[in-house]
Amino acid sequence: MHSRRTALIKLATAATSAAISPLLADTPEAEHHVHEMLEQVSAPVATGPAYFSQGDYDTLSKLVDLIIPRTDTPGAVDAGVPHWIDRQVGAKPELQERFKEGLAYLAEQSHTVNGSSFTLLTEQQQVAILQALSTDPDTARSGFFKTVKDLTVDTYYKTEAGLVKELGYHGNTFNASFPGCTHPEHWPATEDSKEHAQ
Amino acid sequence: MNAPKTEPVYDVVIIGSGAAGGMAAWNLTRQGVSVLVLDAGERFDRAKFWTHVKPWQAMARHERGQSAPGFYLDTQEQPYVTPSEKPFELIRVWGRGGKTNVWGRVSLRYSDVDFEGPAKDGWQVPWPIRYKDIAPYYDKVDQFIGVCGGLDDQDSLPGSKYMLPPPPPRCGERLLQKAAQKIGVSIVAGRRAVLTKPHNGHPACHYCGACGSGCDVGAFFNSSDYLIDPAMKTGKLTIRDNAVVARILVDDKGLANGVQYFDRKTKDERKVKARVVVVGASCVDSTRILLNSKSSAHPNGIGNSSDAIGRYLCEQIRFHVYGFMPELMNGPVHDDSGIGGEHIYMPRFNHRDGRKRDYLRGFGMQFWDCGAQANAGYAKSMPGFGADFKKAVKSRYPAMVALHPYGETLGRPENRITVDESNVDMYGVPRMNIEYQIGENEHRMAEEMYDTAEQILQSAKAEILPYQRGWLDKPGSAIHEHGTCRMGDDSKKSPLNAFNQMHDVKNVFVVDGSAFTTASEKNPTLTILAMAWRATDYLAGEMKRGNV
Repeated sequence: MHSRRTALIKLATAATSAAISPLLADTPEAEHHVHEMLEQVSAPVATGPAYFSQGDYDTLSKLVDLIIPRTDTPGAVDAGVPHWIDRQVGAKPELQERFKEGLAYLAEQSHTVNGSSFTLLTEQQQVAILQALSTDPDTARSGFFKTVKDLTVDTYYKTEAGLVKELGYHGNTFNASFPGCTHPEHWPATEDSKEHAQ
Repeated sequence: MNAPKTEPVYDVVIIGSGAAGGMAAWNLTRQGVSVLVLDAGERFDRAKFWTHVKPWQAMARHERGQSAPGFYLDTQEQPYVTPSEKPFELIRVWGRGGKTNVWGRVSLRYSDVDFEGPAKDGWQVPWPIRYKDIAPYYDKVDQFIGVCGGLDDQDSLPGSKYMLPPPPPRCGERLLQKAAQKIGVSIVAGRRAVLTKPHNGHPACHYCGACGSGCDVGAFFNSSDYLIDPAMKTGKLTIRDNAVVARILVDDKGLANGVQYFDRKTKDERKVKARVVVVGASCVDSTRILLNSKSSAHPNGIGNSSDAIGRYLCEQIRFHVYGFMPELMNGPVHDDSGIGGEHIYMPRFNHRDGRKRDYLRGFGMQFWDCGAQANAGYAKSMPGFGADFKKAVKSRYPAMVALHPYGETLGRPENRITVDESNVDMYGVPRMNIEYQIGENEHRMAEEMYDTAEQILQSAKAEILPYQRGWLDKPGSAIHEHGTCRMGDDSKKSPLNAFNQMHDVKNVFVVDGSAFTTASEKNPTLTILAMAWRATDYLAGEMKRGNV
């Protein structure tokens, strides 16, 4: 069993050998280090809403799905975004007020369109309502859309689905060196900064 | 808390264990001085840092009721009062090493452009020191703590012979350098207190970029590992945890003879005796302690015959502009973590080449968050929703650049910390009021700061993320408070002399950001370290000579 120190010593040793790739993120040592030291958890504790009613949760799920849908990569619902928003709203009274008003307005609009609830409208109708909502001069209404969008964006791009699968993030790991930009076409013609001979 | 029943009289008691207090403790103990450090918190346990917890793992942990180490002091525990129309965000870390556990690590030397500023433009009092006075100490600090960076030397940003190799810039940072160069603006390698090589027994950075959560191996300077630990090895240092200092105590002649503090756990009052008191509790808390140290000799707070203590509070103005580099859109996603934060810096240039300006002082620019981040916060400022929106967010992910100009604010007597006898904290000690507001000079400077950021992005042909011109961060956000116990040769105007010693009370030294005569546009920690080293060299000499 490796200790953290052993893992780091291995990294340091590897770094001195030119034959070994400087990027050790994928080596068993580095992986082992990360997983051994931190008992990592990723999964939600439970599924289903803790704060919203099932009906409101279904509406929220449809909203986040319209904002970041499934394409060739996971969408916001695949990523569990409704679950995390439910937990965030449950913890913040000022968000609860905004959702109460916003969801009520959405229900009202949906009834005006075809006497039904938001989740039962066609996607075309849902998109039309959201488009109107996002540009509504009434700042409480457009503000509700902005709140849902911001929460969706913040949460989705923090999930493994959003950040890694969709965007391709692979930072916060163990590297023996940092290559920086390796594209001379991106560089200034002359260096403003004198650099060290390494 | 482990206060002995019969406490010795220490040579020096130091209030605070951050950059200022830590440096004082290290430099005095290695010269044989017996020191007690009073720390308002405890040591942070590196094994519990969330350095390598990914964002999705953090969400899952929070749901399980876990939380990252609480570095930041809960304002509820030590509230301060601001007028409702003048908000000030005070961010404090109480515990071993203070803010150096999570600091931004930007390590820029002050130059004579900074030290000569007030003497030249006449705004407030001149600095009592110049670059030549502090340069040898910058050299020592660079060598001791390890600072990586370029070797260039500009009038507004002095060079150093002692830099560790700088990390190479990321793609977006290179493109910013190129774009700035086209319009005559120089963007150089940054100077950061991050170890790009193992240094003085501390391990090298492993480029995870998660420094803001605390470094799990201590590869950037923090006062706890780099100063307090070696000071402990001298056998001359005692540390008292959870000691919240209330007042400096004085004898009949008005000289300091000890410190009154409260145990943060038991709330018990304690007193400790010392021949000298060194104050390094961070600008604002140090000011609170000095103003609360009232006696018949010092009715206005210790060493405050000038009435300058608490006044001239200055922070820095800053804002953030983001863009996307066309060359990088839809391109490969790199691991842009690097040393966490920027690898480049734009030194101040507004004083050069006959440039005219309608304000005093100047600004520089920092660039953290260029390249792929552990979030896509920029997407909140992009229009639309749905599949096209998702695609637009992804295409910009590798291409983001971030510009953060920092501008100096002027010291003004009305920008002031006071203590309120009628409003006391849980220990019965008067709380602080902070009254702070930027003025016309800062707003004019901000115009040129915005112009510069826009010109660089336009030169790069970048797509600029929508922003509100003129917007500035809430005062306090830069966490660079200065000026409330300033140095100066004139004892009628400044509480401290050129060696951070009180003009009125020769055995009290104040060695943190409060001692700065001006704030400049630069991050203060490197200068705090150099000044605290210099001040305590002087103090040790004065003690040997029997003058203190």
